Amino acid sequence: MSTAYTGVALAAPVSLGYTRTSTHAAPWFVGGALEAMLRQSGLPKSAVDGLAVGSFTLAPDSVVTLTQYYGLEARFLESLPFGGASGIVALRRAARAVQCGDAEVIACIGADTNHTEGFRDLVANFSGFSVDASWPYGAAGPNLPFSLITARYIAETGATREDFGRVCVAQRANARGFPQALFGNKPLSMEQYLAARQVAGPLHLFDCVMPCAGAEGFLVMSEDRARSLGIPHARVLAADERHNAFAADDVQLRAGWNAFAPQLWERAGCGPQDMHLLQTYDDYPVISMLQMEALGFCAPGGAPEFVRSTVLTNDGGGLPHNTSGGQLSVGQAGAAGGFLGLVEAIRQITGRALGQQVPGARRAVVGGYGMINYDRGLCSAAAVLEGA
Amino acid sequence: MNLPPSRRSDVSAALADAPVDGSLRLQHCGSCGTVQYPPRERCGHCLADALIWQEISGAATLLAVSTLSHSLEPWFAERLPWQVASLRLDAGPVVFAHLAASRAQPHARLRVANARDASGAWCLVAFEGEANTFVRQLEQPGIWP
Repeated sequence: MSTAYTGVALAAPVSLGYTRTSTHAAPWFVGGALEAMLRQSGLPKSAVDGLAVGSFTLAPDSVVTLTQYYGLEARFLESLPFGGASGIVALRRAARAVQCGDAEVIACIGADTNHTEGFRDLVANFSGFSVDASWPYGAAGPNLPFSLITARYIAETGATREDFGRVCVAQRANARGFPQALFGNKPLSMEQYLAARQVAGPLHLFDCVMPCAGAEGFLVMSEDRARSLGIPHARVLAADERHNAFAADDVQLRAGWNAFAPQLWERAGCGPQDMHLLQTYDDYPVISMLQMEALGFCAPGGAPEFVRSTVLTNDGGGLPHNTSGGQLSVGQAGAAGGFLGLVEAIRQITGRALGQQVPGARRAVVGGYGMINYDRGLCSAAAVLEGA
Repeated sequence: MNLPPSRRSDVSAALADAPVDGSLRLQHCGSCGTVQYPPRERCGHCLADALIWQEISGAATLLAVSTLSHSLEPWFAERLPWQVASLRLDAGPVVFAHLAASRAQPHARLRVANARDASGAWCLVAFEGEANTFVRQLEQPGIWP
Protein backbone atom coordinates (compact mmCIF):
# COMPACT_ATOMS: atom_id res chain seq x y z
CA MET A 1 0.00 0.00 0.00
CA SER A 2 1.32 3.41 -0.94
CA THR A 3 2.00 5.87 1.82
CA ALA A 4 2.21 8.83 -0.57
CA TYR A 5 -0.10 11.82 -0.30
CA THR A 6 -0.70 11.71 -4.05
CA GLY A 7 -3.62 13.72 -5.36
CA VAL A 8 -4.03 15.91 -2.27
CA ALA A 9 -4.01 19.71 -2.48
CA LEU A 10 -3.45 22.34 0.22
CA ALA A 11 -5.14 25.60 -0.69
CA ALA A 12 -6.58 28.89 0.57
CA PRO A 13 -3.98 29.68 3.25
CA VAL A 14 -5.20 32.38 5.66
CA SER A 15 -3.70 34.25 8.65
CA LEU A 16 -5.84 36.79 10.45
CA GLY A 17 -6.99 38.49 13.61
CA TYR A 18 -3.60 38.90 15.30
CA THR A 19 -3.82 41.12 18.40
CA ARG A 20 -1.97 41.15 21.72
CA THR A 21 -5.16 40.44 23.67
CA SER A 22 -8.76 40.07 22.63
CA THR A 23 -12.21 40.04 24.22
CA HIS A 24 -13.50 37.80 21.41
CA ALA A 25 -13.93 34.09 22.19
CA ALA A 26 -12.11 31.41 20.19
CA PRO A 27 -15.09 30.62 17.87
CA TRP A 28 -14.85 34.18 16.53
CA PHE A 29 -11.30 33.47 15.38
CA VAL A 30 -12.07 29.98 14.00
CA GLY A 31 -15.08 31.36 12.12
CA GLY A 32 -13.03 34.24 10.76
CA ALA A 33 -10.52 31.78 9.29
CA LEU A 34 -13.34 29.73 7.76
CA GLU A 35 -14.94 32.82 6.22
CA ALA A 36 -11.61 33.97 4.75
CA MET A 37 -10.88 30.53 3.28
CA LEU A 38 -14.30 30.40 1.60
CA ARG A 39 -13.76 33.86 0.15
CA GLN A 40 -10.29 32.95 -1.11
CA SER A 41 -11.36 29.63 -2.66
CA GLY A 42 -14.71 30.76 -4.01
CA LEU A 43 -16.35 27.73 -2.40
CA PRO A 44 -19.75 27.98 -0.70
CA LYS A 45 -19.94 26.99 2.96
CA SER A 46 -21.99 23.94 1.96
CA ALA A 47 -18.96 22.55 0.08
CA VAL A 48 -16.99 22.20 3.33
CA ASP A 49 -17.78 18.76 4.72
CA GLY A 50 -14.84 18.43 7.12
CA LEU A 51 -13.48 20.54 9.96
CA ALA A 52 -10.25 20.02 11.91
CA VAL A 53 -9.57 22.50 14.72
CA GLY A 54 -6.69 23.09 17.09
CA SER A 55 -7.43 25.54 19.92
CA PHE A 56 -6.49 25.77 23.59
CA THR A 57 -9.22 28.29 24.39
CA LEU A 58 -12.22 26.71 22.69
CA ALA A 59 -13.80 25.25 25.86
CA PRO A 60 -16.67 24.97 26.65
CA ASP A 61 -17.08 24.67 22.88
CA SER A 62 -15.52 21.93 20.77
CA VAL A 63 -15.14 21.10 17.10
CA VAL A 64 -18.55 19.41 17.40
CA THR A 65 -20.43 22.40 18.81
CA LEU A 66 -18.79 24.60 16.19
CA THR A 67 -20.76 22.81 13.45
CA GLN A 68 -23.99 24.20 14.86
CA TYR A 69 -22.35 27.58 15.58
CA TYR A 70 -21.35 27.98 11.91
CA GLY A 71 -24.26 26.06 10.36
CA LEU A 72 -21.99 23.37 8.90
CA GLU A 73 -23.05 19.83 8.04
CA ALA A 74 -19.87 17.76 8.35
CA ARG A 75 -18.91 14.15 7.82
CA PHE A 76 -15.37 14.55 9.12
CA LEU A 77 -14.43 16.27 12.38
CA GLU A 78 -11.04 16.27 14.02
CA SER A 79 -9.91 17.88 17.24
CA LEU A 80 -6.19 18.67 17.36
CA PRO A 81 -4.68 18.77 20.86
CA PHE A 82 -1.13 18.85 19.47
CA GLY A 83 -0.19 22.49 20.13
CA GLY A 84 2.65 23.43 17.83
CA ALA A 85 2.32 20.24 15.79
CA SER A 86 -1.41 20.79 15.15
CA GLY A 87 -1.08 22.13 11.62
CA ILE A 88 0.95 19.23 10.24
CA VAL A 89 -1.13 16.66 12.11
CA ALA A 90 -4.26 18.29 10.64
CA LEU A 91 -2.72 18.04 7.19
CA ARG A 92 -1.97 14.34 7.67
CA ARG A 93 -5.44 13.45 9.01
CA ALA A 94 -7.27 15.53 6.42
CA ALA A 95 -5.15 14.30 3.50
CA ARG A 96 -5.96 10.67 4.32
CA ALA A 97 -9.66 11.44 4.70
CA VAL A 98 -9.71 13.13 1.29
CA GLN A 99 -7.74 10.31 -0.34
CA CYS A 100 -10.13 7.73 1.11
CA GLY A 101 -13.26 9.66 0.20
CA ASP A 102 -14.37 10.28 3.78
CA ALA A 103 -14.66 13.99 3.02
CA GLU A 104 -14.12 16.28 0.04
CA VAL A 105 -13.14 19.66 1.44
CA ILE A 106 -11.70 19.88 4.95
CA ALA A 107 -11.07 23.20 6.67
CA CYS A 108 -8.01 22.91 8.93
CA ILE A 109 -7.85 25.74 11.45
CA GLY A 110 -5.66 26.69 14.38
CA ALA A 111 -7.03 29.61 16.36
CA ASP A 112 -6.93 31.00 19.86
CA THR A 113 -8.04 34.05 21.72
CA ASN A 114 -5.92 35.62 24.46
CA HIS A 115 -7.73 37.28 27.31
CA THR A 116 -5.79 39.55 29.66
CA GLU A 117 -4.92 36.78 32.14
CA GLY A 118 -5.22 34.12 29.47
CA PHE A 119 -1.63 33.00 29.24
CA ARG A 120 -1.22 32.60 32.99
CA ASP A 121 -4.41 30.53 33.20
CA LEU A 122 -3.30 28.37 30.28
CA VAL A 123 0.13 27.52 31.64
CA ALA A 124 -1.05 27.14 35.25
CA ASN A 125 -3.44 24.36 34.18
CA PHE A 126 -1.65 22.99 31.12
CA SER A 127 -1.53 19.29 32.08
CA GLY A 128 -1.55 16.97 35.07
CA PHE A 129 2.23 16.74 35.04
CA SER A 130 2.76 20.48 34.74
CA VAL A 131 0.44 21.22 37.70
CA ASP A 132 2.51 19.00 40.02
CA ALA A 133 6.00 19.17 38.65
CA SER A 134 6.56 22.37 36.65
CA TRP A 135 4.25 25.28 37.49
CA PRO A 136 4.97 25.27 41.29
CA TYR A 137 8.62 26.16 40.57
CA GLY A 138 7.87 29.70 39.45
CA ALA A 139 8.56 29.92 35.72
CA ALA A 140 5.98 30.93 33.14
CA GLY A 141 5.03 27.68 31.43
CA PRO A 142 7.59 26.53 28.88
CA ASN A 143 10.19 29.12 29.95
CA LEU A 144 11.54 26.70 32.57
CA PRO A 145 11.99 23.59 30.39
CA PHE A 146 13.27 25.73 27.54
CA SER A 147 15.81 27.57 29.62
CA LEU A 148 17.07 24.17 30.83
CA ILE A 149 17.19 22.80 27.25
CA THR A 150 18.94 25.95 26.03
CA ALA A 151 21.46 25.84 28.89
CA ARG A 152 22.32 22.25 28.12
CA TYR A 153 22.48 22.93 24.36
CA ILE A 154 24.97 25.74 25.02
CA ALA A 155 27.06 23.47 27.24
CA GLU A 156 27.19 20.72 24.61
CA THR A 157 27.58 22.73 21.39
CA GLY A 158 29.26 25.97 22.42
CA ALA A 159 26.36 28.01 21.01
CA THR A 160 26.57 31.69 21.95
CA ARG A 161 23.88 34.28 22.50
CA GLU A 162 24.83 35.74 19.13
CA ASP A 163 23.94 32.42 17.48
CA PHE A 164 20.42 32.47 18.90
CA GLY A 165 20.35 36.16 18.03
CA ARG A 166 21.10 35.43 14.37
CA VAL A 167 17.91 33.35 14.17
CA CYS A 168 15.80 36.00 15.90
CA VAL A 169 17.23 39.01 14.06
CA ALA A 170 16.83 37.38 10.62
CA GLN A 171 13.24 36.42 11.38
CA ARG A 172 12.45 39.96 12.43
CA ALA A 173 13.77 41.19 9.09
CA ASN A 174 11.56 38.62 7.36
CA ALA A 175 8.50 39.89 9.23
CA ARG A 176 8.73 43.33 7.60
CA GLY A 177 5.69 43.71 5.36
CA PHE A 178 3.80 40.70 6.72
CA PRO A 179 0.51 42.30 7.74
CA GLN A 180 -0.27 40.00 10.68
CA ALA A 181 3.14 40.25 12.37
CA LEU A 182 2.68 42.10 15.66
CA PHE A 183 6.38 43.05 15.55
CA GLY A 184 6.50 43.52 11.76
CA ASN A 185 7.21 47.23 12.10
CA LYS A 186 9.74 46.84 14.92
CA PRO A 187 13.16 46.04 13.47
CA LEU A 188 15.50 44.13 15.77
CA SER A 189 19.24 44.65 15.67
CA MET A 190 21.80 42.28 17.16
CA GLU A 191 22.67 45.05 19.66
CA GLN A 192 19.04 45.27 20.79
CA TYR A 193 18.80 41.49 20.95
CA LEU A 194 21.89 41.24 23.16
CA ALA A 195 20.80 44.12 25.40
CA ALA A 196 17.41 42.59 26.23
CA ARG A 197 16.57 41.73 29.81
CA GLN A 198 17.05 38.20 31.07
CA VAL A 199 13.95 36.05 31.53
CA ALA A 200 15.18 32.62 32.64
CA GLY A 201 18.78 31.47 32.54
CA PRO A 202 20.13 31.88 29.00
CA LEU A 203 16.71 33.00 27.70
CA HIS A 204 16.30 36.73 27.25
CA LEU A 205 13.30 38.75 26.14
CA PHE A 206 13.65 38.26 22.37
CA ASP A 207 14.13 34.49 22.75
CA CYS A 208 10.57 34.10 24.00
CA VAL A 209 7.41 34.25 21.92
CA MET A 210 4.77 36.75 22.88
CA PRO A 211 1.37 35.15 23.57
CA CYS A 212 -1.38 36.72 21.47
CA ALA A 213 -4.70 36.02 19.73
CA GLY A 214 -5.07 35.05 16.09
CA ALA A 215 -6.04 32.43 13.53
CA GLU A 216 -4.44 30.39 10.75
CA GLY A 217 -6.02 27.97 8.33
CA PHE A 218 -5.90 26.13 5.02
CA LEU A 219 -8.19 23.85 3.00
CA VAL A 220 -7.42 20.25 2.12
CA MET A 221 -9.11 18.86 -1.00
CA SER A 222 -8.26 16.72 -4.01
CA GLU A 223 -5.91 18.18 -6.57
CA ASP A 224 -8.63 17.69 -9.16
CA ARG A 225 -10.97 19.83 -7.10
CA ALA A 226 -8.35 22.56 -6.64
CA ARG A 227 -7.61 22.55 -10.38
CA SER A 228 -11.27 22.78 -11.29
CA LEU A 229 -11.64 25.71 -8.91
CA GLY A 230 -8.59 27.28 -10.52
CA ILE A 231 -7.00 28.09 -7.15
CA PRO A 232 -3.28 28.03 -6.31
CA HIS A 233 -2.36 24.96 -4.31
CA ALA A 234 0.52 22.94 -2.91
CA ARG A 235 1.21 19.21 -2.93
CA VAL A 236 2.44 17.14 0.00
CA LEU A 237 5.63 15.27 -0.96
CA ALA A 238 5.95 13.67 2.47
CA ALA A 239 4.85 14.24 6.07
CA ASP A 240 5.39 12.46 9.34
CA GLU A 241 4.87 12.84 13.06
CA ARG A 242 6.25 11.24 16.20
CA HIS A 243 5.15 11.62 19.81
CA ASN A 244 7.22 11.07 22.96
CA ALA A 245 10.30 10.03 20.97
CA PHE A 246 13.63 9.44 22.75
CA ALA A 247 11.82 9.48 26.11
CA ALA A 248 14.92 8.26 27.96
CA ASP A 249 17.08 11.26 26.96
CA ASP A 250 18.10 13.40 29.96
CA VAL A 251 17.46 16.68 28.17
CA GLN A 252 15.60 17.10 24.89
CA LEU A 253 18.36 17.86 22.40
CA ARG A 254 16.64 15.76 19.73
CA ALA A 255 13.01 14.89 19.09
CA GLY A 256 10.73 12.97 16.77
CA TRP A 257 12.17 14.62 13.62
CA ASN A 258 15.47 12.82 14.28
CA ALA A 259 13.58 9.52 14.26
CA PHE A 260 11.79 10.00 10.94
CA ALA A 261 13.83 12.50 8.89
CA PRO A 262 15.74 9.97 6.73
CA GLN A 263 12.50 8.24 5.70
CA LEU A 264 10.78 11.61 5.26
CA TRP A 265 13.33 12.72 2.67
CA GLU A 266 13.34 9.33 1.00
CA ARG A 267 9.56 9.45 0.53
CA ALA A 268 9.75 13.07 -0.61
CA GLY A 269 12.26 12.13 -3.30
CA CYS A 270 14.43 15.14 -2.48
CA GLY A 271 16.61 16.46 0.31
CA PRO A 272 17.34 19.54 2.39
CA GLN A 273 19.51 20.90 -0.44
CA ASP A 274 16.41 21.04 -2.68
CA MET A 275 14.42 23.27 -0.30
CA HIS A 276 13.85 26.92 -1.17
CA LEU A 277 12.80 27.76 2.35
CA LEU A 278 12.57 26.31 5.84
CA GLN A 279 9.79 26.97 8.34
CA THR A 280 10.61 25.77 11.83
CA TYR A 281 8.44 25.87 14.92
CA ASP A 282 10.07 28.69 16.86
CA ASP A 283 8.70 29.25 20.33
CA TYR A 284 12.39 29.67 21.29
CA PRO A 285 15.37 29.85 18.90
CA VAL A 286 16.99 26.70 20.31
CA ILE A 287 14.11 24.62 19.01
CA SER A 288 14.55 26.07 15.52
CA MET A 289 18.21 25.08 15.68
CA LEU A 290 17.31 21.55 16.79
CA GLN A 291 15.02 21.31 13.73
CA MET A 292 17.79 22.53 11.41
CA GLU A 293 19.94 19.69 12.74
CA ALA A 294 17.24 17.02 12.83
CA LEU A 295 15.94 17.75 9.33
CA GLY A 296 19.44 17.43 7.92
CA PHE A 297 20.41 21.03 7.12
CA CYS A 298 23.46 20.48 9.34
CA ALA A 299 24.91 17.81 11.61
CA PRO A 300 23.72 17.28 15.20
CA GLY A 301 25.23 20.09 17.25
CA GLY A 302 26.10 21.94 14.04
CA ALA A 303 23.36 24.57 14.03
CA PRO A 304 25.45 27.30 15.71
CA GLU A 305 27.98 27.07 12.88
CA PHE A 306 25.16 26.73 10.32
CA VAL A 307 23.49 29.98 11.39
CA ARG A 308 26.87 31.77 11.37
CA SER A 309 27.52 30.73 7.77
CA THR A 310 23.99 30.78 6.30
CA VAL A 311 21.93 33.86 5.48
CA LEU A 312 18.47 33.20 6.93
CA THR A 313 16.68 36.25 5.54
CA ASN A 314 14.28 36.14 2.59
CA ASP A 315 16.49 38.25 0.36
CA GLY A 316 19.94 36.89 1.14
CA GLY A 317 20.31 33.99 -1.27
CA GLY A 318 20.89 31.53 1.59
CA LEU A 319 18.15 29.54 3.28
CA PRO A 320 15.13 31.76 3.96
CA HIS A 321 13.91 30.72 7.40
CA ASN A 322 10.52 31.54 8.91
CA THR A 323 9.70 33.82 6.03
CA SER A 324 6.80 35.69 7.67
CA GLY A 325 8.80 36.33 10.83
CA GLY A 326 7.80 33.17 12.66
CA GLN A 327 6.10 33.23 16.02
CA LEU A 328 8.97 35.25 17.45
CA SER A 329 7.89 38.19 15.27
CA VAL A 330 4.23 37.47 14.54
CA GLY A 331 3.25 36.35 18.05
CA GLN A 332 2.12 32.97 19.37
CA ALA A 333 -1.65 32.67 19.01
CA GLY A 334 -1.91 29.40 20.92
CA ALA A 335 -2.49 26.46 18.58
CA ALA A 336 -2.39 28.83 15.58
CA GLY A 337 1.36 28.89 16.23
CA GLY A 338 1.36 25.28 15.07
CA PHE A 339 -0.16 26.34 11.74
CA LEU A 340 1.78 29.55 11.10
CA GLY A 341 4.81 28.06 9.34
CA LEU A 342 2.73 25.64 7.29
CA VAL A 343 0.27 28.30 6.14
CA GLU A 344 3.14 30.64 5.24
CA ALA A 345 4.88 27.86 3.31
CA ILE A 346 1.73 27.24 1.23
CA ARG A 347 1.62 30.96 0.38
CA GLN A 348 5.32 31.15 -0.49
CA ILE A 349 5.48 28.09 -2.76
CA THR A 350 2.34 29.17 -4.62
CA GLY A 351 3.81 32.64 -5.13
CA ARG A 352 1.21 34.33 -2.93
CA ALA A 353 3.27 35.72 -0.02
CA LEU A 354 1.55 38.57 1.82
CA GLY A 355 4.87 40.08 2.87
CA GLN A 356 8.21 39.33 1.25
CA GLN A 357 7.95 36.71 -1.50
CA VAL A 358 11.03 34.47 -1.80
CA PRO A 359 11.74 34.64 -5.55
CA GLY A 360 11.18 31.33 -7.30
CA ALA A 361 10.22 29.44 -4.14
CA ARG A 362 8.58 26.12 -5.04
CA ARG A 363 9.60 23.68 -2.32
CA ALA A 364 9.55 24.02 1.47
CA VAL A 365 9.95 21.91 4.56
CA VAL A 366 7.93 22.76 7.65
CA GLY A 367 8.54 21.60 11.21
CA GLY A 368 6.00 21.32 14.00
CA TYR A 369 6.64 20.82 17.70
CA GLY A 370 4.35 20.98 20.65
CA MET A 371 2.97 20.18 24.06
CA ILE A 372 5.53 20.89 26.76
CA ASN A 373 3.88 18.55 29.23
CA TYR A 374 6.72 18.72 31.73
CA ASP A 375 10.40 18.73 30.78
CA ARG A 376 10.12 18.37 26.97
CA GLY A 377 7.82 18.81 23.99
CA LEU A 378 5.98 15.59 23.21
CA CYS A 379 4.86 16.18 19.60
CA SER A 380 7.15 16.50 16.58
CA ALA A 381 6.02 16.68 12.98
CA ALA A 382 7.34 17.77 9.59
CA ALA A 383 6.04 18.10 6.04
CA VAL A 384 7.78 18.58 2.70
CA LEU A 385 5.65 20.59 0.29
CA GLU A 386 5.82 21.61 -3.36
CA GLY A 387 3.88 24.29 -5.19
CA ALA A 388 1.69 22.85 -7.93
CA MET B 1 0.22 37.94 51.38
CA ASN B 2 1.41 36.33 48.17
CA LEU B 3 2.19 32.61 48.19
CA PRO B 4 3.55 30.23 45.59
CA PRO B 5 0.97 28.18 43.64
CA SER B 6 -0.45 25.67 46.13
CA ARG B 7 -2.55 23.54 43.79
CA ARG B 8 -1.35 19.97 43.25
CA SER B 9 -3.06 16.97 41.66
CA ASP B 10 -5.11 14.55 43.78
CA VAL B 11 -2.82 11.72 42.73
CA SER B 12 0.11 13.40 44.50
CA ALA B 13 -1.76 13.86 47.80
CA ALA B 14 0.51 11.36 49.60
CA LEU B 15 3.43 13.77 49.16
CA ALA B 16 1.66 16.34 51.34
CA ASP B 17 2.60 14.17 54.32
CA ALA B 18 6.12 13.23 53.20
CA PRO B 19 8.68 13.82 55.97
CA VAL B 20 10.87 16.89 55.46
CA ASP B 21 14.12 15.53 56.84
CA GLY B 22 16.34 15.28 53.78
CA SER B 23 14.79 12.05 52.53
CA LEU B 24 12.90 11.48 49.30
CA ARG B 25 9.58 9.67 48.97
CA LEU B 26 8.27 9.00 45.46
CA GLN B 27 6.01 6.52 43.66
CA HIS B 28 7.33 3.00 43.22
CA CYS B 29 5.55 0.31 41.21
CA GLY B 30 4.71 -2.71 43.33
CA SER B 31 4.52 -4.83 40.20
CA CYS B 32 7.67 -3.99 38.18
CA GLY B 33 9.68 -1.85 40.60
CA THR B 34 9.86 1.26 38.41
CA VAL B 35 10.24 4.56 40.29
CA GLN B 36 8.23 7.28 38.55
CA TYR B 37 7.74 11.04 38.58
CA PRO B 38 5.59 13.10 38.07
CA PRO B 39 3.01 11.10 40.05
CA ARG B 40 0.30 9.22 38.18
CA GLU B 41 -2.34 6.54 38.82
CA ARG B 42 -0.67 3.87 36.72
CA CYS B 43 2.88 2.76 36.25
CA GLY B 44 4.37 4.42 33.18
CA HIS B 45 6.37 1.26 32.49
CA CYS B 46 4.08 -1.76 33.06
CA LEU B 47 0.73 0.10 33.42
CA ALA B 48 -0.12 -1.64 36.71
CA ASP B 49 -1.93 0.44 39.32
CA ALA B 50 -0.10 -1.16 42.26
CA LEU B 51 1.75 2.05 43.13
CA ILE B 52 3.39 2.47 46.49
CA TRP B 53 4.80 5.65 48.00
CA GLN B 54 8.12 4.78 49.52
CA GLU B 55 11.47 6.25 50.39
CA ILE B 56 14.00 6.02 47.58
CA SER B 57 17.52 7.33 47.18
CA GLY B 58 17.68 11.07 46.60
CA ALA B 59 21.05 10.78 44.87
CA ALA B 60 20.92 12.65 41.57
CA THR B 61 23.00 14.14 38.78
CA LEU B 62 22.40 17.77 37.89
CA LEU B 63 21.32 18.14 34.24
CA ALA B 64 20.78 21.89 33.86
CA VAL B 65 20.15 25.00 35.93
CA SER B 66 17.75 27.84 35.19
CA THR B 67 18.01 31.14 37.01
CA LEU B 68 14.59 32.76 36.75
CA SER B 69 14.65 36.53 36.29
CA HIS B 70 10.94 36.73 35.59
CA SER B 71 7.83 35.08 36.99
CA LEU B 72 4.11 35.49 36.51
CA GLU B 73 3.69 34.33 40.11
CA PRO B 74 3.97 37.25 42.56
CA TRP B 75 5.65 35.23 45.33
CA PHE B 76 8.52 34.31 43.00
CA ALA B 77 8.55 37.75 41.35
CA GLU B 78 9.37 39.23 44.79
CA ARG B 79 12.31 36.83 45.25
CA LEU B 80 14.11 36.91 41.91
CA PRO B 81 16.52 35.68 40.79
CA TRP B 82 15.33 32.19 41.66
CA GLN B 83 17.19 28.97 40.83
CA VAL B 84 15.50 25.83 39.54
CA ALA B 85 17.25 22.73 38.26
CA SER B 86 16.49 19.56 36.37
CA LEU B 87 18.14 16.44 37.75
CA ARG B 88 18.30 12.75 36.84
CA LEU B 89 17.67 10.69 39.96
CA ASP B 90 19.81 7.58 40.27
CA ALA B 91 16.47 5.84 40.86
CA GLY B 92 15.36 6.76 37.32
CA PRO B 93 13.14 9.79 36.77
CA VAL B 94 14.00 13.38 35.80
CA VAL B 95 12.75 15.92 38.35
CA PHE B 96 12.54 19.69 38.54
CA ALA B 97 13.56 21.01 41.95
CA HIS B 98 14.26 24.28 43.74
CA LEU B 99 18.04 24.50 43.78
CA ALA B 100 19.66 25.24 47.13
CA ALA B 101 23.20 24.62 45.82
CA SER B 102 23.68 27.90 44.05
CA ARG B 103 27.04 27.26 42.40
CA ALA B 104 26.36 23.70 41.23
CA GLN B 105 27.32 22.88 37.64
CA PRO B 106 25.86 20.29 35.25
CA HIS B 107 27.01 16.73 36.07
CA ALA B 108 27.39 17.67 39.77
CA ARG B 109 26.21 15.04 42.22
CA LEU B 110 23.42 16.42 44.40
CA ARG B 111 20.60 15.10 46.55
CA VAL B 112 16.87 15.65 46.04
CA ALA B 113 14.46 15.70 48.98
CA ASN B 114 10.79 16.29 49.69
CA ALA B 115 9.95 19.68 51.12
CA ARG B 116 7.07 22.14 51.55
CA ASP B 117 7.06 25.46 49.83
CA ALA B 118 5.82 28.66 51.46
CA SER B 119 2.23 27.79 50.53
CA GLY B 120 2.54 24.57 52.51
CA ALA B 121 2.23 22.43 49.38
CA TRP B 122 4.77 19.70 48.58
CA CYS B 123 7.77 20.42 46.40
CA LEU B 124 11.23 19.01 45.69
CA VAL B 125 14.53 20.63 46.65
CA ALA B 126 18.02 19.80 45.38
CA PHE B 127 21.02 20.40 47.64
CA GLU B 128 24.63 19.44 48.20
CA GLY B 129 25.87 17.01 50.81
CA GLU B 130 24.07 14.59 53.07
CA ALA B 131 20.60 14.64 54.54
CA ASN B 132 21.74 16.36 57.74
CA THR B 133 23.21 19.19 55.66
CA PHE B 134 19.76 19.73 54.23
CA VAL B 135 18.15 19.82 57.68
CA ARG B 136 20.63 22.57 58.67
CA GLN B 137 19.78 24.48 55.50
CA LEU B 138 16.11 24.29 56.45
CA GLU B 139 16.89 26.52 59.40
CA GLN B 140 18.46 29.23 57.24
CA PRO B 141 15.69 31.46 55.98
CA GLY B 142 15.82 32.58 52.37
CA ILE B 143 17.84 29.71 50.94
CA TRP B 144 14.78 27.98 49.59
CA PRO B 145 10.96 28.26 49.98
